[in-house]
Formats: sequence, structure tokens, C-alpha cells
Amino acid sequence: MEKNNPSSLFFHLSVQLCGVENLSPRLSDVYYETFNSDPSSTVILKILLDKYQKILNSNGHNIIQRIQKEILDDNKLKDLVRNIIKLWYLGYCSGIATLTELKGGGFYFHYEALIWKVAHAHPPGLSGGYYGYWKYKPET
Amino acid sequence: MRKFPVKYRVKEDIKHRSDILTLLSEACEIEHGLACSYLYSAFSLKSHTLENITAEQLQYVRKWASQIFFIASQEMLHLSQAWNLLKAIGGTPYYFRPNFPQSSKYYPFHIPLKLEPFSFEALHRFLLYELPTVIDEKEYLRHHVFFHSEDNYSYHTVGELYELIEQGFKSIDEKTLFIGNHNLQTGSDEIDFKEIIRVTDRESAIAAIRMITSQGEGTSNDTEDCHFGIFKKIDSDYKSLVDADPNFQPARNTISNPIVFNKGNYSSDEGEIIINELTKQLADIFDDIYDLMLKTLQHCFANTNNDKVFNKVMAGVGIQTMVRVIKPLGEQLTTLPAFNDSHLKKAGPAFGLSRHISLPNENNLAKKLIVERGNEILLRLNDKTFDSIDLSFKNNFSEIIGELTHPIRKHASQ
Amino acid sequence: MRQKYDVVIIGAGVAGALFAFKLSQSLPGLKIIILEAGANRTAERTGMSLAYAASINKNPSSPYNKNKATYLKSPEGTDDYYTYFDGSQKFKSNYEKLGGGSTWHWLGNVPRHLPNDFKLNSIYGKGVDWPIEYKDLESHYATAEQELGASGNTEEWNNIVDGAYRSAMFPMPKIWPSYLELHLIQSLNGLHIDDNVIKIRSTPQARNSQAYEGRPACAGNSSCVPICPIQAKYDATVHIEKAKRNGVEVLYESIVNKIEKNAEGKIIKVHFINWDQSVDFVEGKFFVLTSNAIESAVLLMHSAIANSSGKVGKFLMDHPQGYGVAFNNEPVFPFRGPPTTSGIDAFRDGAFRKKHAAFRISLGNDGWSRFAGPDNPNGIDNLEVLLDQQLNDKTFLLGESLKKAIENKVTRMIRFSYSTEMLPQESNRVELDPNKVDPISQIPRPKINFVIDTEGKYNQKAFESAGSVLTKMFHHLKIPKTNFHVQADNKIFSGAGHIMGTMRMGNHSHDSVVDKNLRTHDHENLFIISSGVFPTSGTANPTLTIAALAIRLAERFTKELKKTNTAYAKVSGKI
Repeated sequence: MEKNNPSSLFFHLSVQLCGVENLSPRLSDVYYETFNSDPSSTVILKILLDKYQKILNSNGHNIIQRIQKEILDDNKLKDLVRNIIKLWYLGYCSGIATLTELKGGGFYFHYEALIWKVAHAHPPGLSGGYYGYWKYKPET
Repeated sequence: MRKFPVKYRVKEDIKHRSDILTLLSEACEIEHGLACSYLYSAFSLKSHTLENITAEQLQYVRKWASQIFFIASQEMLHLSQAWNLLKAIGGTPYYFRPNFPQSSKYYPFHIPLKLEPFSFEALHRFLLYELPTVIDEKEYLRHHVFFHSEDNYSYHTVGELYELIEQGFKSIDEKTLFIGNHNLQTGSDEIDFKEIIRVTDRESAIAAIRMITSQGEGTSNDTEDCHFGIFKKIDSDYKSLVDADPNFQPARNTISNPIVFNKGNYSSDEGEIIINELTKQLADIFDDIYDLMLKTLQHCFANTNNDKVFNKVMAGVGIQTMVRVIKPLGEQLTTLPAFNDSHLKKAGPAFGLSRHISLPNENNLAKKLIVERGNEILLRLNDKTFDSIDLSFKNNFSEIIGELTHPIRKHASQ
Repeated sequence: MRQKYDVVIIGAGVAGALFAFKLSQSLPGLKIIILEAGANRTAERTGMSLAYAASINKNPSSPYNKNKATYLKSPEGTDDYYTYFDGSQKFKSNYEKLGGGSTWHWLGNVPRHLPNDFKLNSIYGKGVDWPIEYKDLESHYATAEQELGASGNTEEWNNIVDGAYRSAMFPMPKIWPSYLELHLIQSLNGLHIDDNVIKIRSTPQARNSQAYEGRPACAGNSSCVPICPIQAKYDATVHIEKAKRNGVEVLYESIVNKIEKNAEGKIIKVHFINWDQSVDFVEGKFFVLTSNAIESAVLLMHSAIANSSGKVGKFLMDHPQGYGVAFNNEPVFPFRGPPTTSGIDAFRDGAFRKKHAAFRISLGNDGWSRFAGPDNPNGIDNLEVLLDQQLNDKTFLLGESLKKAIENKVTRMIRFSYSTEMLPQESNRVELDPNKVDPISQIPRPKINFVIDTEGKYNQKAFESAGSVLTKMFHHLKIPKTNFHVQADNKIFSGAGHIMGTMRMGNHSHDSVVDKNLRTHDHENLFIISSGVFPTSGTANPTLTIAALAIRLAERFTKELKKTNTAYAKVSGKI
């Protein structure tokens, strides 16, 4: 893990928060920038990532528990973490002022939203495959 | 160039049961081979916005994938229908076919069947196979392949093949020809093919053939919705997208005609052996699951036990394996490296068959063998070799095999 | 100055486009023009699909209202399009204004009306009868199914009730039900509820189950509402293009804002204003008004046309909808395939209609949408609610636990919706709002009065009955009370997008606007094809009936115009 690379740190943190390993690094960069450029979250994002770096630096075992203990005890950090998770899972988040619907290809957010993978479905508007696939149980 | 004596058989020559059985078996091979060819190209189509494709292009690509999968499923229907036709006249459902790459001499097509990623070349190949008989094939030929083949019937397209078959059904005395047990015909109550026709006489045989050809090459009134028409539209849309963006790449960069292990019956040097060990192991598992699926379907059609409940379960296992295991695994293989350098080409499923081994006729024995083989494959899938890969289809395969371990209720009439 | 047309059609939705095509098919050489208020966005399908994907609020207008240059303001996505009389409930159904109309965003269901739907009064003593019967429309239903491309199970639907015969097969086999629906079918079919037996049927839908007329089979994009990215779902651009190929002229971005008659009451021209504010008019021999029930009624009133009965704008109806949502006990994997493929038709007709309205239940494959559910009393985005529930102050899950918790819930979301019949009530109406004028067309905006049950509880009792059916079904599925929620109060209804009744059909000019052949009583050369002509609502989605009426009218036009032996120049106007 590159130190002092907030974008990479954000990616690493997102993987932990969401419980999904193969997140898209490119999308992560876009999401990082989204929070970083929003005046309501720039500062708190830096605090979050600094705290997360500290957890990693201390040979982070039980990262999830440490996040819950050392990060979520602060309400502002908790709100930001919530928004990060919601953005990854839903492709949108009502808590971000700069996340307009047409912000640089908002359809990517929808297509890559984790909720569809976790639902074993597909993003509405981007086909799951072929006629009749819905009759059969999906891969689980 | 050496001239071979050629025994081309034209329509008027199709007068014996053995002719029809041969032609139907060729039809089985071709429908099966086409299904694999179409599936391969569909598997190769990109499915994510993060695969160097714009969202607009991805919308088209996903549509093409759905259309090609649909066509592939109709080829499986055609294979099943050919099995019913065979059974009706005393033949046996037959699933074997030459492995890919195929010799250009094997069928009278001008261009052999091939597993290749989606491309203009692949599309033009597909158009040739499905060419309506009313269209001059020379208009579509890109190059001539010289071939000579003895013991040959005179057809150059799938449509022409079925014309020969239809002629056979028309020319032989009905009572003499239709000797198969009507009760053993497979219907849509047993298998998820709503259009499948039980073949019991000449009329139903002709209807079955017409169903196949109308879906493939269309009718004189409608070529828009048949396979030919669909491929033509895809080709046209593809051209428009390339005109708008010459860098447009709809498919992953996969090898063609993949080979896992040289099973000795590969007919050409044009195959590409998968070198990456992990990918090779997974591709081998694909071939084994695919083979098991075929055996299961063939047993459903071929057994003489007349147990519709059992047949339905078998058909269900086959279809479920196709859509819930074969498809996701096939797609996954096109994302994995074929060689040790992961920046080189990706792999793909080989659809490799080794020997045509039928399951025993007795249902319980057949079930036992399927479960046994399924469990062998699951054991391999659970090996730590694959720990680094997400095998999401594994649970599905496990469920499908698992359900077979329960007793299947006998048909009420038994 | 344009040429004079034989037929001038107002509106390029399914009614206008299909009518134009059928007429041009049977009478080639007839000069036909369609005036469409909205833009031609046929080539924008992919872009609009992406606009939908990029929208946070994925409502029915989300593909269409992003490109301001091609979007004509409509009730979709705007709260202030309609105004209301005091005491009115909100009218919750909307429409799109573009070539192809609301078929861009419709769900695609195409059930037929049942025979008794045409005779609500003579059989049940409620509402009024239509001046036509099921048998008058049956062959046109069959043609409409062919034209739209309907998928269905003929055996399942032939004679579903007495008299509901089918003279033709569906052109395509039924759409396969989803894994979720198959699970419910297995559990619920055969269940006895009061005097009814639950049977879940495949819903007839204008969604391809195989390649059809150059359009692909459904690939399960699951975004039918609001847009099908691949046109496996029918939309009326199909018939616009077919009509154009037959020489029909289509003018887009041309908002008809006045229908003009002469002193004898014959319609002579329609005036329109283009988006660039230029004005124009078109003359014709016959005029056919085909825009939706609200816009058509507004235009008639604004033009002071066809309203000697005083009934234009009156008897506004919708299919008020309710629902029930639940967490099924085991995963059934929603969000796959079309939003619905199956429904329960047992409650669409019966003796109970003397006491309460009929209703139709459909099974939902698309989760809970924005309906209130267990733990979501406000009825906001259920997926966001689901996330919030795992990320609240008491329980803030992370990582694998979070993923599993979400998976556990989202894979078990099931939904039933029901559409109820509404009685025609004269006070439910559209009028012109004198205080609010559309800035482009200069036509006053619609002012609506809408009260579902103006007296009695004919509709509310349907909600209660449907609610009871849903509750019993959830009980039968052994879903605990805490895991389901049923909405059975018609004060909290949803709109179905089925706007009906404002220019109703009838035999008598004093209480209806058009006759049984869709000719206005007041003007011999003005016809109307719209769900606005429906005297009662039944429970069927209206589009197939609109299409059948369009085909029926085209046949009448053809028959009568063919009787003349000149090149239509001397058409007498008697049809």
C-alpha cells in the first residue's frame, strides 16, 4: 500500500467497508474525487483516510472491528462512511451535493452499483443476458 | 489438382432410410456445432463498462449477446428436434461431433465451423451457414476453400441439408419409415423447448423440419426474424458503430479454437492450446461439465423407459446446467489468460469431446452415473487450485447434482 | 401553405400511429398527415437509456426529461403540470409527449377487457354500458395483438370467463415467468380464498418472446418502465415508421392548439404552433384526434368543439392501485426479467361487482419499488432504506456482514400490486385552468377534480378486498406479520398511468361525446381514438383496447372510402 496516496487508501478502505474484493479501481478514483471535491466532505475525508492509514500502519488485524471502534465513534466520520458505502452499493447518495445526475457518466455508477451483484441480478437497463434467463436461479 | 471421384447425392437420390439417418446425424452434428460456435462468440462479448467500451457501445453489445444466445438456444432446440426425427424412424439421438478446429473437408460447407470471438469474420461465417436457399451464396463468399469430400451429399448450407432430409421423408413410404415408438417422442412437457414437435408421421416430420428452417433461414415471406436476418442486422449495426468509432472492440481478445488437451481427434493445426495452468484446469472442467450435460440430455431423449417424470428431471438437469453453469463458466473463461503472460490473449471454452459414451438405458443407473461424475467434478472445483478465482457457478452445479440424489417419483402410470 | 389532406391525425402515440398505418396499408395513395406535439426521438434510444441509468430518481420520465432541447413538458416528473379543484385528490397518472407517446415508458401489458366490462350497468347496475360489446371488438383485439406483437398462452386465455373467446392465437408464446414467480405459482396456485381459486396466469404482454418483425426477443433488461433499451417491448415508433414507409407524413414538434370548424359544424382545419413559435395550419377532409384523454379533452374544450353534451372532460378515471410487499421466507431473486410477467385475474369479474369494484393482481419481479414496506412507512426508495437499516446508529454493519445482510434481504423482496376499477363519476373531470397557460402552445393547463369514490365506497371496498386477498396469500406463504405490509386504503393509491373517460362513447348525443364508431356526435368528420372514449374502466390496461379501436376505425374508413369510386376527392364524409 502506497502511503500518502489518498486515492489508493480510499480504494483499500472501500473494499473493507463494502465486503467486496473486486471493486473497480477506476471507479474508486472517481468516487474518491467525488467526495474530495465536495466542500461538505473534503476535510472529513482526509481525517477518515488518516485514521484508516493509522489502523493499517499498526499491522491491521481485525480491520473491521478497528474501524467500528476507532472511526465510527465519531458521528461525522460515521456519516461519511455511510455515504461512501451507499455510493458504492447504490450508485447514488443523497448526501453529496456535487453528485449531480450527469456528473461525468453517472450511468457507470448505476451499472457498477454493488446492489445488483449482491442481489445476483443485473443493473436495470443493462441486460442480464438472454431471453428466459430469469426463469432459472442465478449463480449464488 | 487431383480430381477425386465424387458421389454427390442430390435431392432425388434420397430414397433410403439410411440416407435420412446419415443426413439427420449430420444435421445433429451441425446444429450442435453451430450452437457451440455461436455460444463462443456470445461468451466473448464484453459485459462491463470497464472493459474499454463506451456505455452506448455496451448497450449494443449486450443486445447482440442476447440475440446470439437466443439463436444458440434455438440451435439446441434444433438438435433436440433432430433427435425426435431420428427416433421416429428408428434412429438414435446422437450428440457427437468433430472437435474444433474442424477440417474444412468434414462437411460440404465452404467454410468450416470454428470457435472464434465475435468479429465481422465470425458474423460473415454465421451468415453463410444460415443462408436462405433463395440467396446466391456466391454473393456472400469471401474466399473459396477448395475441398473434396467423398461420400458426400450435395448441400452447402444448413437449409439445403434440410431440403435433402425433407425429400427423404417425402419419398419413402410412410408406414415403412415411421417405425419408432410414438410414446418415446419428447415433448415440451418434458423439456423447456416450447416449439419442439413430437414426430410420429410424415406431416409432423415435415412440420418439424419447416420449424427448423424457418427459424434458421426464414421463409419466403419473412427473413427478418430468422437467424440470417438477425445476423444481418447485427452486422449492419456493427458496421455503423465502427464507422462512428474505428477503435470499437466489442469482444474480448480471445484465442480461437482453444484446445485444452489434445484429445487426438483434432482435425486441423489451427487450434490454440491453452498454456496457463489455472485456465487450462478450468477449461478442462468446462469440457467435462459440458460432456455430462450432453449425456444427460441424450439420455432424456434416448432411453426407452417411457417415464415422463424422470425424463423431465433429466431434461431439467441438462438445461439448468447449460444456463446456470456452462454459460457463466464459458464467459468466465474468456476473461482468463490463455497464456502465462496475462496481457496476451484470453482463453475460451474448447467444447472438447472425447468419446461418445452413452449412459446406460436403465434410469436409475444413468442417474447414479451422472451423480457420480458430477461429484467427481465438484471435487476438482473445490480444490485449492481455484481458491484465487471466484467460481460463482459452483454452487449452482452443486445444487443441480444435489437434487439428483433425491429419489425421483415414478410416473403414475408405472 | 400545405396541400389539403384526406386525413389529419392529431397525436403520434399508439392510436394515431396504428390508425395511420392501417389506413395507409389498405388505402395507398390516401393523403395522411400526423401532427405530433413532441419531438422525434426514435434515434435517441441508447442515449435515453443512459439518461435513465444516470438518474438518481428513476421515475418514468427519467430517460426523457434530461435533454431539454427535445423534451416537451408533460406531467411526467413535474408536480405543477396539473392544477386541482379544492377537495380533489391528486391525479397521479402521467404521460409523455414525444413521437410514440407513452408507449415509450409503458409496462407493456396487453390484456383484453372482459365481456362484462362492456356491460357494467346492465349486469351489475353500476356505471354505464359501452355502446359496443366484446364481440364487436374481438377480431380487432386479435389484429391488435398481431400488430403490437403480443406474447401469451392462448389456451390459458381462451374463454377465461364466459364469452371471452379468442378467434386467434397470440402471435408469440407467453413470456416465461421468473424464478420468483414460479416459486409463488407453485405455492399459491389452487389456494381457495372466499369463493375464488387462485390461479396465476401469464399476462399477455407486448414484449417479444422471440424475434418479431425485426425486433429482438426480450433480454430481461428489467427497465421496461421507463424504457426498453433494445425495443423488445413494443412502442408506437414501430407504427410511425411503418406509416412513414407507406407515405404518411409526420410533423413533429407541432402542437395542435385549435381545431376549427365552419358554420355548418364541419371541421375544416387544425392550427398548430411549432416549437420555434412559428404558426401554421393544415386542412383536411377527416380529422382524427388521438392524443391522451387529458390532452385531447383540453384541446376540444379550448377549441370549443364537440361539446354540445357538456361531457367533454367529464368522467375522468384511472385504475387506482394498491400493493402488498413482503420479505419471502427464502431467497427468490427479484430484479431479474421483466418487472412482471404474471397475474391473478380471478377478481376481474363476478357478482361482487354489484357491491365493489373489480381488481387485477400482478406479481412484481422488481423488488418493492418506492412502496412503503415493513420498516419503511414513508415509502421512499426501498433499496436506500435497506442500506440505511444496515448502517444505522444501533447496528452499523461493515464488510462481509454488511454484504450478507443486504443479500439476505434484497433477494427475498416480493411484491403484489393490484389495479382497481373506478366508476365513471361526472364530477371527476378536467377543465381548463384560466390562470395557467402553457408557454409554448398557449393552451390552458388542465385543472382536475378527482375523487375516487364521490359517494359510497365502491372502489375503497375493492382495496379492502384486494388487501384481504394479499394478506391471505402472505399467510399462506407463512410469512410472519412483521415481514409483510399490505396497503388497502384508496386514499393512498398509486396511479396506473391509465387515463380514461373524458370523451366517452355512447349512443346518445346528450350524454356522450362520440358514438360507437368513434365519430363525435357534433362533427361528422371528427373522430376520436383514445382511452378517453372508454365509458367505464374495467381492469385491463387500456392500450390493447385503444389499439383495437384504432384498427376498427381504420377498417370502417377503408370500407366506406372504398365505396366511392373516385380518387377520394368526392368523399361525402359519410362513414
